[in-house]
Amino acid sequence: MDAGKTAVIDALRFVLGTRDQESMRLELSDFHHTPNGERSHEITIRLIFSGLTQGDRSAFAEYLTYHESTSSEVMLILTWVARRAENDGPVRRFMPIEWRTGEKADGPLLDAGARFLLQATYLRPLRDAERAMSAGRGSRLSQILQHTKEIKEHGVKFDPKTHPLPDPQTLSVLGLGDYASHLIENSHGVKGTRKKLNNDYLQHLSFSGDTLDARVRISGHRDDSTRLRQLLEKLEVNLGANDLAEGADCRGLGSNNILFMACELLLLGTEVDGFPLLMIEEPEAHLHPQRQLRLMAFLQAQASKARADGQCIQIIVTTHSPNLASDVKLDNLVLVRNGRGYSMAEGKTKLTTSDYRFLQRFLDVTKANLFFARGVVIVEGDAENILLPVIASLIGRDFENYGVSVVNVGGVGLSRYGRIFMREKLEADGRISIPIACVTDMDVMPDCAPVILGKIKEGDAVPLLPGSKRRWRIKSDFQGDELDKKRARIRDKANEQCVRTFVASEWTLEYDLAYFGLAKEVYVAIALADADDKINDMKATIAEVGGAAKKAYDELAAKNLSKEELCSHVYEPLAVSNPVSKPTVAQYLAEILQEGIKSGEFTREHLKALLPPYLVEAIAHATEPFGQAGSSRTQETASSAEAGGTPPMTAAGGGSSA
Amino acid sequence: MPDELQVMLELISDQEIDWACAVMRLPRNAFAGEDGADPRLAVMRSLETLDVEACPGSGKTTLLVAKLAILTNRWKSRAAGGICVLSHTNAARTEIGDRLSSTSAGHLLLRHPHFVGTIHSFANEFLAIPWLRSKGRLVKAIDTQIALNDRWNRLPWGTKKYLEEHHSSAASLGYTRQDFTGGGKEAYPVGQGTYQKMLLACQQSTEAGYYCFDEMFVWASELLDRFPRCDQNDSRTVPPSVRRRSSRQQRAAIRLPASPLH
Repeated sequence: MDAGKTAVIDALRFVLGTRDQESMRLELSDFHHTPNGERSHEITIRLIFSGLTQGDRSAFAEYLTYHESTSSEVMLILTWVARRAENDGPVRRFMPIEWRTGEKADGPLLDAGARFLLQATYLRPLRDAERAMSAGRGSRLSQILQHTKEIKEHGVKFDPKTHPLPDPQTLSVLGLGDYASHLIENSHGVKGTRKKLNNDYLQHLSFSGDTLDARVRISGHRDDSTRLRQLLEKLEVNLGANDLAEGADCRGLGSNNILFMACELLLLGTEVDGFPLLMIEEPEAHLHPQRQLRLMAFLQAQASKARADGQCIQIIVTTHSPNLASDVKLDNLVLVRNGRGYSMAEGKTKLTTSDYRFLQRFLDVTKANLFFARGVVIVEGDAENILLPVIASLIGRDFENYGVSVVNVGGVGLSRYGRIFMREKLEADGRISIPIACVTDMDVMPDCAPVILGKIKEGDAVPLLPGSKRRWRIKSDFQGDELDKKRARIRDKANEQCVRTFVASEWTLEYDLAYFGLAKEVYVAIALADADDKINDMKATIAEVGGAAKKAYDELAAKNLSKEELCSHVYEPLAVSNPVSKPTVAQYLAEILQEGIKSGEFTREHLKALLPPYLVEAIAHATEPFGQAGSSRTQETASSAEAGGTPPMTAAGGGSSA
Repeated sequence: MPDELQVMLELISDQEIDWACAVMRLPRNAFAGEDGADPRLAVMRSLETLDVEACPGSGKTTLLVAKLAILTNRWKSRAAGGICVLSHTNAARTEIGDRLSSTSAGHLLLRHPHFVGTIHSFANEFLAIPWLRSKGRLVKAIDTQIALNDRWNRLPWGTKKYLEEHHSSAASLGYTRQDFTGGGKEAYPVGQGTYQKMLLACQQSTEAGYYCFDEMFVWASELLDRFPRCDQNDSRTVPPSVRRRSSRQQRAAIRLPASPLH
């Protein structure tokens, strides 16, 4: 089977069956294909139902598994086994499917009647909602209406013999249909035609003693349920504020999809028995983002409501939409990756309770991107968000080619986002194969910086710590290996499994860029950003400002300063009060670097050598390592290989465990 | 009683009785009698708890089977439970197989969610076997003869000889408690060689998967002790009118599995 979320849904459909009575056919291709070309002979799907209600326990008494250790654990364990016939004959390719029960699948086979109780409701992706909601033979709407309690039980049947004719208010739906049929049958026009047909024609064509007698009527089926079905199949449902609305075709696909889901939920909610599982594939189809959020909120509310028998609806949603993923409680999210599901429930990840509270608030739509990427770079600011993709692309690691998303968390909780991908029980779960690179600043300035930045006056002593309220730190605040320890502390907040944290070697992104070889470029970018308003107002050109900045930098560089002093001067406009905007600097720096590669000023390798090592390492982690002799695969093959793979997917489940 | 059942248990109609007579190949007035005053008809129609006492061969089982066929036909909701028929013998089950084999009601009645069988098979199917399976215990045979023979063969030659001299046989190798104590072995002093060897034979034989019929109640009641709400699993079994009560002896067994279990 395809290794993804659809496989999970399909497995559930195979085992449970669905209420639309659409049966799935087992195909040869459903059997696992090992890398060396052999097909396996057996498919086994195991489902465990826990949290059974008293009713469930009665209904499945002979199939239950009791756990001795925890006296409250009663479970139904179901093992579905499909086997391939040994010789691939054309007639019979599969052995009859078995639904086994019990811990070791050694219990009685599940009876077809008991299986009926487990049927789930399934909404397929990109379903044709308009058709499902319109009138016609076997329409889903008629199926739904037939099972609604109000239609089945309200009102009396119509009996044409009652005099006077009954009040329509008292009649059931079927009664009304029969009443209408009766009225039409006895209407002047129909009656007259019938009379003509009988008297003028049939009478002359009949043998005496065996008269042909025509009756004109609507759906004369004798069976009540058939007549009701035929009546309901004439109905269609559509959205419209007034009666003038034309029907389903005047609303978008999105609205019809919502309508369709609402009808299915209505049916599911009114059912007194049966297994309340709803599976929706990609409900985001045709829905705009706000509606997606509303839908998700509604589904989550439905899932937390208990039915009369104490059972809650469980909803399993598969999605590619960051909108939906951001709205689902993180606890209920399951990340599907390479054929494995990774639950995000508390206790399954290395997130703490406070992390869950934090992420519930801060994990919004843009950040929810990280669930869908093939690699993630988590950054703390706009500058990194702008610069990293550009730098990566310039050194041959284009993020789009690798399916890497940059997620900007804006200065708070960087490591919490990283820990989402760290499994608590690595041996049982396996590691998540999405490389996550967290990029963060060191925030310790060189000893010369406080004077250059005007934090203290030349010649003054640095305020002692503890003893002063200064928020900034300099290198000489740290004795011996304390600086390395601080770096390790920052790194180790999220540095396990697929997650790595990359801490700036020196101070901040811009300082480090300048320090490791791009001082001039950073200086010019800052000058351009400082003159950004003038450039936008056409009062200055980039060439003028850039030219002047280059000259100024050369003068600064000629002053024979130490590297730290030079770079602190370069960085100064970003660290003073009323600083130059860092995102704008990033914007100009990105342009300068792109221009540099284009004009041949740098080669790819040359640029890579000028970058701070922590950035290069972060990019390599999120994409692929830089080999000794260039990349292990060229960019072209990389992109085609990625395109061939299955995109990562996320499934979300809401509600109780059932 | 749940509402759905009340709805289902509308008075049994003449049409339904006619249908049952037809499928069971009985005369049309088999239950009503010539004059329609046969007490069988009243039993047929009744939806109350009834105690039917009649001589052997008077057709108690036939009447029951006909009534079950009608109720099965009406059974729409699965989650509302099923019909449970308990008796000392498998006569009802056999009769259903014979008389209703050509109808869907006959097939449905013998399947989920309904149950027709003896009190032993009820306790086995719904309580003891699921429990033993959950405990990882093997169940190879539930048969007193086989189980006792197996245990006898596990005894050392000396013990067998000693027991025979004391006029004991394999029959003394049953148990009545979960620790394999109780039964015939209690005639011998606890803690001494013979007792210990009998106890060991019981334990080993059980571990090998052999059980006497009555011993299944020991395990069924262990489940009821551990999971106290389990006895409510019986809610699937239902309407009182369906329970067969044809003789005083049976009544004790029919009420609920609880009484013979404890």
